[in-house]
Amino acid sequence: MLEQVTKQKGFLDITFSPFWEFVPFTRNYIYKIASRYLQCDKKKNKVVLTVSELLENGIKYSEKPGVRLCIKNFSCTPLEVSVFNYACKPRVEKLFQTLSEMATANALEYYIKKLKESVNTKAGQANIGLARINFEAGPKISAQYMDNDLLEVKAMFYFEEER
Amino acid sequence: MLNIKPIESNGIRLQAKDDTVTISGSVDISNANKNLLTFFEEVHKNIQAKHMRKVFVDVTELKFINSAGIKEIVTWIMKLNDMPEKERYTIVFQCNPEISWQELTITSLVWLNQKYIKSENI
Repeated sequence: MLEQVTKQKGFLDITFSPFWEFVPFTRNYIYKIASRYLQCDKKKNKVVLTVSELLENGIKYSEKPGVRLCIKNFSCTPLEVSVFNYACKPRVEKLFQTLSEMATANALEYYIKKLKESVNTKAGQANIGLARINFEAGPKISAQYMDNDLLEVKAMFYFEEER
Repeated sequence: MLNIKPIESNGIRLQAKDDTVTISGSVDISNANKNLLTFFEEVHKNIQAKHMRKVFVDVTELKFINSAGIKEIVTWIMKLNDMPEKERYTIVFQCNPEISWQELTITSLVWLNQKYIKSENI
């Protein structure tokens, strides 16, 4: 398995316990790695924002300990950011509904709508992370729910040739 | 004019002095809610009590803000939106053009109230 994944150009895999303090450390770490492969500051920040928000969601909504971040193709297109965590079915259904709404909506309008709604969410939750990624970073976002309750949320960046 | 005791905790610093609110450092899940919510409530009350018409929010040293932190800024802006027109005040976000994420993040906040929320690069 290790040979297969390391054949990919620019592969990174981190699994950690759901510990909030690890998110900024991981974000800073990814920023440094992204700086090696992406010259454009905006593109680096798009990747880093996506990593940070997906990890926070992974920790916030995980049903069991363990959150995994996997980045593929740092040095080519599409650059893929995946976050895995265990999730319950109602939460996953809500996620798929959000993704479906986002796919057909204008990114800015949808984000503004979610910003306004966030005021009424309970403490510690904003429910704007995915809409923010969609508007500010613009990757193709998808999700996969596996038989063992493992959820993968994937963001794919199709950066142009100039990186 | 504003004069609120600064808050410094877990990598963020919040300050409100004269006509400027300063948010610096990084806002993460571990420090976002409690600190920002309390701080912005106090800022809003102070502005109302002192009948200020304009306040600047300096984010030039803000390296990162997560969605929970954005929610607390939105909560402040929505309070402004709920006020009677004649009592409203202008919030001007002062951004750092060298921190690229700020452009889109702050632009989206401006869309919440284009008349009273502004942004400028300094």
